[in-house]
Amino acid sequence: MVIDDIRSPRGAPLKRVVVTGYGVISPFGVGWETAWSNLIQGGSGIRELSGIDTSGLPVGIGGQVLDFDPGVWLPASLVRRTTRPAHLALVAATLALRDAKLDVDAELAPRIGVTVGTACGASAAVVDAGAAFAERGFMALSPYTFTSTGVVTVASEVALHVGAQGPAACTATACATGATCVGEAMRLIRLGEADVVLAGGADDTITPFDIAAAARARALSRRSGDPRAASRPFDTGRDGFVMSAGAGILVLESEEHALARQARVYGEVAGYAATTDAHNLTSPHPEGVAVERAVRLALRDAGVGPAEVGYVNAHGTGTRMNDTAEIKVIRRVFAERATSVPVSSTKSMTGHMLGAAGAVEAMIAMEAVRTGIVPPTINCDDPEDPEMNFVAHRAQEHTADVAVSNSFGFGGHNAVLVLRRWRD
Amino acid sequence: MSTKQQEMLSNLADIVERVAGVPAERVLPDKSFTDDLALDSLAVVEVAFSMQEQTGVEIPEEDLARIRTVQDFLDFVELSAGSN
Repeated sequence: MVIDDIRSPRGAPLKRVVVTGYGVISPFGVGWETAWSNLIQGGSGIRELSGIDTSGLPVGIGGQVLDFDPGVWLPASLVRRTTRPAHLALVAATLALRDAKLDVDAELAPRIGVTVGTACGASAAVVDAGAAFAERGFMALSPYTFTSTGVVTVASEVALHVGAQGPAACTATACATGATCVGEAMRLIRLGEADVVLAGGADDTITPFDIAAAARARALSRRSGDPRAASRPFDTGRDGFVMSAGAGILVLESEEHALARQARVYGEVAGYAATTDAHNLTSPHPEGVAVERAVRLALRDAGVGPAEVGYVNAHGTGTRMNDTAEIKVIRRVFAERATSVPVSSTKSMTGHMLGAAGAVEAMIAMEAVRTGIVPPTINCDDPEDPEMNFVAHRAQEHTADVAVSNSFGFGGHNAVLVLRRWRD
Repeated sequence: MSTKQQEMLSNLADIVERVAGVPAERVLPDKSFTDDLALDSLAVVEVAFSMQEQTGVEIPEEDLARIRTVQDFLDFVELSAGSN
């Protein structure tokens, strides 16, 4: 299938969409370079939690964003009227635009959009405001409580800060949010609604309340004594995901716009598909029927077949159910190649950054294609499917022109992205 | 201006700078919050809220509406603190 044959509903050929900037804040710190460098060395961002009171909680580990002072990057008044996830999104967006060497001038403003989402929004700010309200009533609330706790702020504050006047929205699909935002941004550009879109996600739920809530839902690993070993995707000893904070924002751009300004292109967002399990709110369908459909549709959207895929960045949360179902889907889609195509879960190192995960993982998949280095799945000591290549422990070198990045959210939301090498 | 009010002014100036980004030196007694210092209505409420957090003095919204200048604010806080 030749890509020029894919036509938009209006009949014009779809534009190709490339990535020209990366902006990341992760448990490894501020910046894409520090994240990538840690990932390919098998480093872990998961530690004993510090600075919060975890007494009485069954979980005391996570991937915090430490040593991040938004005041270094943003005006004090902006920091004050916004909440933590918005701080992360704002700084990641700033980094991404800087990386893309893109200025938003009067001509670009109406043609640049924002699709940045969050899984849990400003939950810490809501909890704190709720406690203050319960204790002291109406006058205990800051006038910014209403606006700053709106879920849309991760997108609207970014749009306001950079001057984006194209379509801007917060789209949320729980753990798949980051990938969904990248995919929807790709569609906006393909259809000509925008020339550039800042796409991704941000979350910071490392608070006693959020950890307690997730632990009550039995979603989190309880391997508290050994932080580095706790996130164990595809390992038979896995017992849940490790909560992490972060933000990932990509600058997506139409091929035409990027070439006209001679931008440096990291790669192409070649395909995207979204499906829903409609099976259970938190458990994935055990056979992964809708997941398989998402993978196949995304590949078809990109105009490639499973044989051309050189790397899969798995959703791989390390929960018992996700990893089992994901393995089944990979086996079915890749058939005889399922035992050789490298499949790694970088959540083994970053933990689960919720809304940011799918966006950061899209960058990781793209970088694996660009560099030929595939990051490992650490802690994969006893793989559930010993015949598959989970890139256990250490990074591997593989030449891949196409990579797939999977993201599956609570609620049964499946978002699959296909990233492709860009040849000038 | 009494020393107490001087101190409060200095406090208030810092709060205005933090909330709205206006340099503290510009927060002078005769300045109007909205016209001279360009604070929007939410910022004014936030300034009052921050002052409340620091001093415990509540400024009910009806009273806040009548405060136009920095001096008005200082006078109100002093009056309320005195009656507490």
